[in-house]
Amino acid sequence: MTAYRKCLLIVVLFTLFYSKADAQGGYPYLEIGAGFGFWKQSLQSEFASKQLPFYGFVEYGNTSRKMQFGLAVNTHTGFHFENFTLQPKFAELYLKYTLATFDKVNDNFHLFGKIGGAFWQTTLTDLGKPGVVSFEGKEENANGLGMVAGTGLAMHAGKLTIAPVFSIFLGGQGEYLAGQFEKQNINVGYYQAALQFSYRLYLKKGATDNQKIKCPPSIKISR
Amino acid sequence: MKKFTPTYQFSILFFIAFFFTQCELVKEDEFEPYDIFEEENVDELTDGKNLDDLITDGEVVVLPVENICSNNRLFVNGERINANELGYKIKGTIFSESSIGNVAVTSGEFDLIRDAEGNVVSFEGYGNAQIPNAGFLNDVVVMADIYGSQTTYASTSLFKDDNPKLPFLDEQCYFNFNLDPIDNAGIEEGEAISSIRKSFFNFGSIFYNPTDPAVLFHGDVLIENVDQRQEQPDNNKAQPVDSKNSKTKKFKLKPGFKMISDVGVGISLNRNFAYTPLTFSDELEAKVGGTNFEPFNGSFYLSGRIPLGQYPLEFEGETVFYGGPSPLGILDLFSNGLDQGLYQQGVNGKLFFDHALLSVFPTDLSMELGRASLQLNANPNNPFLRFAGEYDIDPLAFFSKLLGESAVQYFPSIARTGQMYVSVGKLEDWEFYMMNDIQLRIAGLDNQSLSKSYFHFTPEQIEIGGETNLPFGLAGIEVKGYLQNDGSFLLSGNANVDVDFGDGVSLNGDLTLEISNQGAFLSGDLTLPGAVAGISVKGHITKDEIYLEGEGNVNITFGPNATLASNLHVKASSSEGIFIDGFLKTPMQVAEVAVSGEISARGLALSGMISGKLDYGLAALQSNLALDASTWGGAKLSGMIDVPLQIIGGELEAYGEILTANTFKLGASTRVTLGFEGFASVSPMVNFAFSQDEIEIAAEAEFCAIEACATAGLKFNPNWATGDVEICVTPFAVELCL
Repeated sequence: MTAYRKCLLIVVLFTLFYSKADAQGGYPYLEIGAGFGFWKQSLQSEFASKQLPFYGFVEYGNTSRKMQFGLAVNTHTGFHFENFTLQPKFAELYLKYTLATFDKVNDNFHLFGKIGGAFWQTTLTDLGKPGVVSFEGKEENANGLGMVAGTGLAMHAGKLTIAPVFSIFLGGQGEYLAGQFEKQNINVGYYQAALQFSYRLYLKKGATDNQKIKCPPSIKISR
Repeated sequence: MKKFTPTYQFSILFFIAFFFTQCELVKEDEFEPYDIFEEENVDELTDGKNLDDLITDGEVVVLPVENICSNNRLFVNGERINANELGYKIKGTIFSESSIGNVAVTSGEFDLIRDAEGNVVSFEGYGNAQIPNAGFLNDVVVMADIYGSQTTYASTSLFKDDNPKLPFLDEQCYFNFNLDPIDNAGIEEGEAISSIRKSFFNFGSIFYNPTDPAVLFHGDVLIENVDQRQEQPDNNKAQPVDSKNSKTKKFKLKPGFKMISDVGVGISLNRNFAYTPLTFSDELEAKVGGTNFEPFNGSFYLSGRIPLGQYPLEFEGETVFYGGPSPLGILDLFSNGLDQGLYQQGVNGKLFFDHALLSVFPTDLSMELGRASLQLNANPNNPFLRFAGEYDIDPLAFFSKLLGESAVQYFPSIARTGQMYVSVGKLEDWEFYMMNDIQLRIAGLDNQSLSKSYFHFTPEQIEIGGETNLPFGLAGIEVKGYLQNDGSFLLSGNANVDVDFGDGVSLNGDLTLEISNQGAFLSGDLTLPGAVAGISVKGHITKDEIYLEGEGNVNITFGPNATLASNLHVKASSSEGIFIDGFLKTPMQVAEVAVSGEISARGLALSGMISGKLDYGLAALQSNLALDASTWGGAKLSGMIDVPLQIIGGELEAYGEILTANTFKLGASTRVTLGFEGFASVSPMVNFAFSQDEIEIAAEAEFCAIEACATAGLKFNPNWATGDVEICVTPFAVELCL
């Protein structure tokens, strides 16, 4: 079993455990958002950044819990090396956890971390020569399971949330010919710094703004 | 004990997951892609070493393509070929040995496929179609950019199986590049992807022979307007520029260029393009003694198909050229055209009935109307120009394509065919022949030639001919002749008619006239239907005599023993005279007339006979008269008429002769018999005769009663030659004269 599958198994087990152990009550909600990367770095050292990523996500949570479940798709990432471009896509299923709040300073901020499993598909494109039409943009694809981890600082403003997020996408090795006779391994993972925006939709009436933006009582820091 | 909060739980999870993956975070400097379209430098590969040594060392691998073509060796970098279960895979540049050294041919990805015995039988792949920058090609052909193509390597026999028109020599090795669809290259009007001096090309297919080297393009040609012949050709290469509508570079043309579509252009350093003249009908070959075209190999090839304006016609042609001993070399051809030097040129052309509008029909309606070959040899040792052409325009063939043969099998059509041949060599060696034929073609019947004419000029003779026919061979007129350089000539004509009415009844006629320096000769005959009548004639006019002979026959049968027949034969000869001979026979022997005559050196003669017989059963009238007159024998007349009466019978007889102008004798007599029921009769007779000397008049009567008869007569005979006059009376058996 690969490291990524082990990681994914742990996440699933932990999710099942947590779903029973967490507190009761609160207001369930969906957090819908999108983000764009402003910096990234391939884990294959030869490749340089070419185009910035874009991603969308949906998270489910409860005002009485620190844990959220999220689904995200990270795409439009691009790296290039010589005549080739590498474009990984990650579909993530992750847990997002509030690590800390800063009520003493400003209760609209909290620090979170996330970890999850991912299915990735990466395309290696041979840009070829401009006039070599039939070979231009010849693609090789690889896919597999990986994991995603990250941390960010969320800032709430009513139902809106803005958060700078630093993530690492781990996908292991993709195999590509790239003009050779034997396939070569390319690390398809990368680091990413992004800024994301989200909007919270409550699934139960009665929640007030005050309740909505405050952390659950169970994690308040006692005086 | 401190509670194990979810925060700690999550943190532990995070670090566990990170622990499993941290060792694979970053992978460095192990990815080595290869650009298979980047041309490898042959000099860097060989590094000045001998190719065989590189092969031995394994640095270079010769492609095992002997079973495909073995004219030259192809090789690749040893690292760029890999054996697999199908054969070999090549990713990179293919090199070839050639007459100008080792050259890079193409770069890309290729497969060599082996058969069950392990022999490589197929070489295909995808590579760039960049013409090698080697030898004269480096000076002639400029590609604007790199273009990808489906690539095949094979011998010319394989390519010619697919396209017999290719001008390749046998057992040559060619790469065939089929470029990606030209539309994908983003070519706009006034743009081109390659150039040869002042000519620009957009090609879909390229053949490349790395050994020669030679290239053959198929595509469109764009020619800029050249105001005048360049005395000092511009040797600067045209430069491609970036194209705003595609990522590739293109040549930009000046406004006013002319485009010729669907052309082939071939350039060979040596003579690797074959000129093969078209084949012509056996009739033309036989008529001109063989067209005598001489196939040759050239270094320049041009072919194309050009629509002729508003007409539904297209001209398809090809030319092979060799020579060009211009001081500027073969490159001058692309700047100044053909020079006035020594060269050979062969041209083949075909004219097709075709139009873009016809493409809406689901079948190929293109139809060849005519073909021609032209060969020009400007070699001073054996200069010649030969041209041969044939055309065959049959609308029925077109309708057969359109509607199907079964639908048009009963359509009549008028077809036109023709032939032409010209051969010009040295002053005493030339030949010109032309033939035109108009034919009526009716399905189920042989083609009917309505009109055909030809003339054939050679230094030895001039020959002409013509023929006009009615359909179904009913009638025809043919004229032909020649005039030879020794003064002899012949002109002959023939007219014939042949009408078959069935049941053996036909009208036939044939007349032949021949005029030569031997004289004029005529012969012919005509037969009327049912053999009712026939006329034949023959004759000649020569320096020795004029001779004409004719005969006419009539033969009409009304039933058994009832036939009307006549015959007249005339012969006129300047050496023998004029002779006439004929007869007429009426049915039932009612009358028979015969006549003959002669006008010859011995004199004039005319003789005739008329005889008749009218049989009434109880009585018959018979006559028989004859006249025979000649300048040497005089004239004689004799004959009789027998009057067919039962009670009163009689006969009339005439006779005479004219021996000379002063010597003649004529006479006539008649006798009548009167019968009285067998017991009495009277038979009077009168005779009259005269000559140059005397006259004799005599009368006589015989009286019979019961069984006794008595005769009484009277004669008057004056003779002025002797001066005597004799008068005699015969009263019943006693004669008394004075």
